[in-house]
Amino acid sequence: MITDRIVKIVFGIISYLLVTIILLIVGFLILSGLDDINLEFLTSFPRNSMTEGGIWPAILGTAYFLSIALLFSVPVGILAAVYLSEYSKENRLQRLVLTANNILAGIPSVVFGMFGLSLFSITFGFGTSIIAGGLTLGIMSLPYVISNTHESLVAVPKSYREASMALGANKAETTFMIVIPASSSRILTGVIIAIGRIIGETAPLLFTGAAFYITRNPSGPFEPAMALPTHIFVLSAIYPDNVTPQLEGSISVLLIIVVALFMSVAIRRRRESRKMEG
Amino acid sequence: MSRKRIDLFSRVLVTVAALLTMVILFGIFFFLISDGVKVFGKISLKDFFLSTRWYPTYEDAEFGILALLSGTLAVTGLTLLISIPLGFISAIFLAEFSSRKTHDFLKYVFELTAGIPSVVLGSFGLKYISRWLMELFPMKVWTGLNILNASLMLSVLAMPYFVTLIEDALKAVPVDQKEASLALGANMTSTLFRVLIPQARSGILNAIILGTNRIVGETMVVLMIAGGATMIPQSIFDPVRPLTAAIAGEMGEVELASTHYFALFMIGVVLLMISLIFTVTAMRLKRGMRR
Amino acid sequence: MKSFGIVVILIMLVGTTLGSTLVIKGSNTVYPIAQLWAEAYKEINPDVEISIEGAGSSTGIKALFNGQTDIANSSRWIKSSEIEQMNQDGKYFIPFIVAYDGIAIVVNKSLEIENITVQQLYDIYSGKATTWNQIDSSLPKVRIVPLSRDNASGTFEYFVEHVMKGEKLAPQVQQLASTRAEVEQVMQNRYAIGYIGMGYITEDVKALTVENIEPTVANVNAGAYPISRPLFMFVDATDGFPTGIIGDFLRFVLSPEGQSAVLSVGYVNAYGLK
Repeated sequence: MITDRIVKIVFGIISYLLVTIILLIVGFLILSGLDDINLEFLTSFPRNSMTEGGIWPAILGTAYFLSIALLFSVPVGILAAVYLSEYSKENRLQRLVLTANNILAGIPSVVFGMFGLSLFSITFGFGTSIIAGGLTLGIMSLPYVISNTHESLVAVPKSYREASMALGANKAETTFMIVIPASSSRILTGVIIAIGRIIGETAPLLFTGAAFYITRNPSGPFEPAMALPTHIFVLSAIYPDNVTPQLEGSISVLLIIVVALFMSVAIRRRRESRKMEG
Repeated sequence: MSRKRIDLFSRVLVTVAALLTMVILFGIFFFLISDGVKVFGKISLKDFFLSTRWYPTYEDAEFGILALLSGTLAVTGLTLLISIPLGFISAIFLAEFSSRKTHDFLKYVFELTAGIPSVVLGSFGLKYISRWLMELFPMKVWTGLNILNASLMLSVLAMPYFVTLIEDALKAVPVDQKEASLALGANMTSTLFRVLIPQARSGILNAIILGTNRIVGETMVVLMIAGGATMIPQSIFDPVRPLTAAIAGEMGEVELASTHYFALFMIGVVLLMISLIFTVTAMRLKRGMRR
Repeated sequence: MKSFGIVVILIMLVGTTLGSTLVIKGSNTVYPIAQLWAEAYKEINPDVEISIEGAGSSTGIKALFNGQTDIANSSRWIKSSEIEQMNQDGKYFIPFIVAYDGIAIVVNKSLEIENITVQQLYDIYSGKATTWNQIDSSLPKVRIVPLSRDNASGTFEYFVEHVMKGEKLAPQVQQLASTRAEVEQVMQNRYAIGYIGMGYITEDVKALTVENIEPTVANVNAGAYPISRPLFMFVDATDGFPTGIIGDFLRFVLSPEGQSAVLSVGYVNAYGLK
């Protein structure tokens, strides 16, 4: 049993070391930008060639891009997952849809960006706009929403469905009034994970929707917007060294959002698993 | 609408939504390939794939992607060498040796890691790792932006995949097999290496394939810190320009519908094919596992 | 599917909102100064809205053809293919030189070199000189680490045309995604060399004299510094000289006040100052 102890200790040390390194990097990046964050930084426009002011339009723009993305991927994703778990038997079509979804999930984000550019910006004529960028991110997040929702729906016990059907409800009623509500909390967790995955996406937005600078917030979905990750790239790419505080602040804000998102996922999961055991 | 109609309507609705995923997938292939193949109107297949000279913006432009491809291979290979063993160790610790609390905490951090925006890791590598590498190996490192730097940062992104998926594979092994081995007096360690890992090998392979797919497609990290030289690397300290870096670095300023534009789309097709092969292989493995 | 309905409604609601907005697109080099002008112009005319996208000179001029932008920023002169298309489409674009950009050659502070010639730059970037002692025999025999911008950037195009005379860069030249990355690397690496816009010179790197001329505003202005280039704004004058908001904005850009702003982001004024 001594080998077990040694393996446990050595593997444990390595695991903790990795986690420590990761936490150090994240913590360091958050902390080094923390003193640049204040109310003005969060609520004002960049000024004086990005050396002053804040990142308000980038925060708002990220929210716009995410809204369009979710407006697309959440309804479509939930419906497609419903098809997979409730309506399809183990047939060819189901296999095809599952395969398509897996392939979509594996496609590099930069390829989604090119597709968005080619379809939304050029073919549909949306140009560089919130809608082109948002839909691109929406398509990227679709496989995440489908897989997570599919998993949540499958986890609903069969007895729920049988009871509902026994009471005379048809398939649609059972699905939308019993099964989905029963798994809504898990579905939401899945959506939060999807947000966490796409909120930091830079390359697709650079091709389809990101303005480097705007003087006022966009008034509609056909205008370009700034976004946090692209702002970070732009600051580190085309501005001189004097924007460093802005850059560090932006990185810090984005990381805090990501950490908060995943923390909420962890808390929600914990609650769910307790409920299951409970 | 009657109840029956609604029932029928929702059946149609969910089927359409499901079919939409296939439509999107075909759309992606269609748009990339239809733009990508146009490059072969100007450039021969051989010059595109077998030439190392990538000079897309000159009067006498050249569009050979071999050096870019070698960059992708080098960065991916080194990242795998770093992250697979470490991911494996953490997965084993999580699956078999950790208490519930430890498990939840470590798992949370690894999940969070998967969400770190790559542009952030890119700027970290640019500013810090690059300097540390030059100070650590002053004789060998002639530039701080190189394969090793990119691989270190990519490992941070890839490790969580390996940890999560390998742990899942280990946990998927039936409990009775593990218990039988333990009952026979074997300790945990030998049970692990004689029973669990061999039993989980197709799941582990599946994890490695999916993780590799992620690494190949990563963009911002390699754009910012892989070094950007279109050369065939001789050592891990050489700078390279992987496929994704070329797309991201040049797409923003390329003239629409030019040969350069089509060449970048063809690179997109190459990436698409790589990820298609990886995903389908992984799915085959998984199906074989279930049987 | 629901989302499609919402999207369609949004499309109808929005209609054309672009009318009152001045759209500027194009070169990333011109970008920082365009932003400053936009800010200053907006202070004088608060109800004007301006959106700026940096996507490269070619993209900007392309957008001018499609009517997707009012002003196209460009760090290069219009190409012959673009003039051809102009004639084909019956369009007429006019250029304004809005500023000059000096290209500075930077090295690490500890490297004992002060001057470089255009010929030496050519040797380094074409791979003919690979160690520093080939440039100056008093320098150590260590590998030169040449840095460049991405091959799609205007700065790169200028460098290739004027310093390299069209010759291709050696494969080991590192193309970095940003000027900041170049400065950062030169700062960290004792044997690196890079070319950057003058505005990006910091105290942490050493800017060399080129052919014994210092990269200063005065020298660029006098035309003495050998590697500097004009920056342009192109506008569509098919239906006559731009009036209204476009014309007014350009007048501001070329005014002494607008030109003084150029200096604060490290470029050189094209016309007189206030």
